[in-house]
Amino acid sequence: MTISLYHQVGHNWNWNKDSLVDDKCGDGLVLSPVHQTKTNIEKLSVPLRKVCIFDPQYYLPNSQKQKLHTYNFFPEALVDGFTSANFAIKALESARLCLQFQINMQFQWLVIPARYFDQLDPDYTERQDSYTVAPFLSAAKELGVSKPLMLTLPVTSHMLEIVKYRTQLLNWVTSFPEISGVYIFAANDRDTKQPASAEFLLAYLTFLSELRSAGLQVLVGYTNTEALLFTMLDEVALTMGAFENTRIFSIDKFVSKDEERRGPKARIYVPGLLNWIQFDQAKQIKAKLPQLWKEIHFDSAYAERAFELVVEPQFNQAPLYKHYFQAFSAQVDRLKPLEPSGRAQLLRSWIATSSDAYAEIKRSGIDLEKHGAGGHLPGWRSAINSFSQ
Amino acid sequence: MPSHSPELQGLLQRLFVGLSFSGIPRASGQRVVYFCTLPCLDREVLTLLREESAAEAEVVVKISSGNDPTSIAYLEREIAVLNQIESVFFPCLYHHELVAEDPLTEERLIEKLFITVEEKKIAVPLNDVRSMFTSEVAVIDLLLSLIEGLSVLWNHANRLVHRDLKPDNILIGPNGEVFIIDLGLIRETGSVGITATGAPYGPMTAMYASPEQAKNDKKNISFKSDCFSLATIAYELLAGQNPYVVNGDMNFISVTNNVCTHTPISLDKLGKCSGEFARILSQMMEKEPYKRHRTIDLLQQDLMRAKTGAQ
Repeated sequence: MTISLYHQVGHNWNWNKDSLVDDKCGDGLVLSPVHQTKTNIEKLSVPLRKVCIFDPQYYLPNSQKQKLHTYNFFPEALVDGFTSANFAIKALESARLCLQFQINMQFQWLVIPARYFDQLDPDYTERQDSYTVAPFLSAAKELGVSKPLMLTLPVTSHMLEIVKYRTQLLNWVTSFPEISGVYIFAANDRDTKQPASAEFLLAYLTFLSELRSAGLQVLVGYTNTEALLFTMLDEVALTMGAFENTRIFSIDKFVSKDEERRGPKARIYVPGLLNWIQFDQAKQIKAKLPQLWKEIHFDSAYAERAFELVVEPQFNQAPLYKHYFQAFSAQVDRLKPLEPSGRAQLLRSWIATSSDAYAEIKRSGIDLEKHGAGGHLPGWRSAINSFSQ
Repeated sequence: MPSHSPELQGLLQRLFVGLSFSGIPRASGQRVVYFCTLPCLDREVLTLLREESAAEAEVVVKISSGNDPTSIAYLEREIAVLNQIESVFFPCLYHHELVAEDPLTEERLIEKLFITVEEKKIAVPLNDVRSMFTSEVAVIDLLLSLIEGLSVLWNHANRLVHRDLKPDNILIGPNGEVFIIDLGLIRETGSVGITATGAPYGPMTAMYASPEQAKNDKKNISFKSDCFSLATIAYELLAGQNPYVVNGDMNFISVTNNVCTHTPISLDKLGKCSGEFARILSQMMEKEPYKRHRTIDLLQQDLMRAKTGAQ
């Protein structure tokens, strides 16, 4: 009945490290080679590496991202100009090098990477088999690995919502007795920051639940605050990240210089609203509805510091993210000791309280912008109720 | 297709000097099978015999048509596997050859024959000793032995699957030893295989086949398919009837359809075993492979727990 929480590392990975080590938030890190060079990872202390999971990020095999190229096993780095044909010859070598690196670094799990497909590819499983799964399983056997193997499963919401496709994925994932866990994330194309579709959330929950029923460990990557819903599983590892590109998966970060994009407005996570809201709107609520603010806000030193600043904080400053890690961890800690049914009940009560709070904010005349409003809550409630049945 | 006849027996005796026939087991698919005694004469087969000092050896001689390349491919696969594995659960293969002409007359045969000579286990088919397996513990023990034996295939580098487990292909020795025979349908997990992908059914014995075999869903055929067959056998032993033969209808299409759609009544509801063992068998017979036991270890642990509970 364990819930664990990992930091999905991105830019400024040291914020995650500080939060883990100094603030004791979370159980480990999911390292990100697109953001961290090989040398950078090698310099992490051994005790820290032992609670890390390394995501090799083979999602876009011909990515030109320089940091990925510091890993000699990354497809584009290993072959001169990636094509499926020329990589096929080197796939086993790539697998050996990648696994050996993970073994040397003493990471918690050994991760088998995967390619990202944004379409409903009928040959999804066959392509993953030849790209990484078969070579990594062969290499693992050769190397006599003793650590548990985790398979990366990048999917889209469509793959999960189509029952036949979902069943095929489940049959495939559970066909490898050597694999003990799945590192899964689902891209969900939407125009809101929070996932609000009950169909998607229910399909995701059902899929995760089936993986658990098969006895697989499950690490859900790239989750925003909807990760709270996944605690309705008996055991699960969740992730939390700083910038949005660690909370919502997009292949874009492997093709474009996402760090140079125009930054979004600073936001703060408000646990009582189960959402991030724009920082200036948070200040309005704090000033206009102090009692409500007390009830919905998580009081952290980081948030306090941010509110004391004369100049409004920017999206690329640490305090609001470190505040999120603390606030979110505290919520997970409250769910952790409960049975799955108790977690569902507590989540329902949180949603009800959030809805009331949103209503009060609206009555006060504060007009929260689209992403900070409570548009996601009905979908969440519906998904929880359907899943609980 | 060859059939049992004095002419065929005569041909075999000309091929293997001193061969005598000791019995004809049940018909085995598209092969003719004889139990024979073969003296230790100065032939190639001798060098392969395990009991070098024995004056003669009990063997099983199997004769198949040698004309169809697909069938030959199946047989060669079986031979390759038997030559690779060394397990007390499987018979030893002594000899195989493709015969195109009569050795005496040097006349070309009407059809080429593929002949194998295997070790004859001192055992009888499970079908003949069903009465030994009417208790829950006896059936669990049988399953555990079969799983141990089949693990040699399942853990093989090519992740082999038997695909034709049925009471006729399981032999029981005088001291309860378990042997598995007839690897003719063996394949690698998820491989393309030898038969045509477009065929509506995969090669199988319908009453013991898994839904993925029945649907010829090749990429989902794995050790879990064999587990489905094992559970069907166990169910049949305890219930006294095959779970997919409904109202006595043994028509191939009906049985195949039932394999894919019919959920048998749980054995505990029939008063045939404990709820725990019934649950395990139901899980082994789930229609979708992902709902069955994910690893051999998990299945063995589950069965061991059920055995402890039943004792």
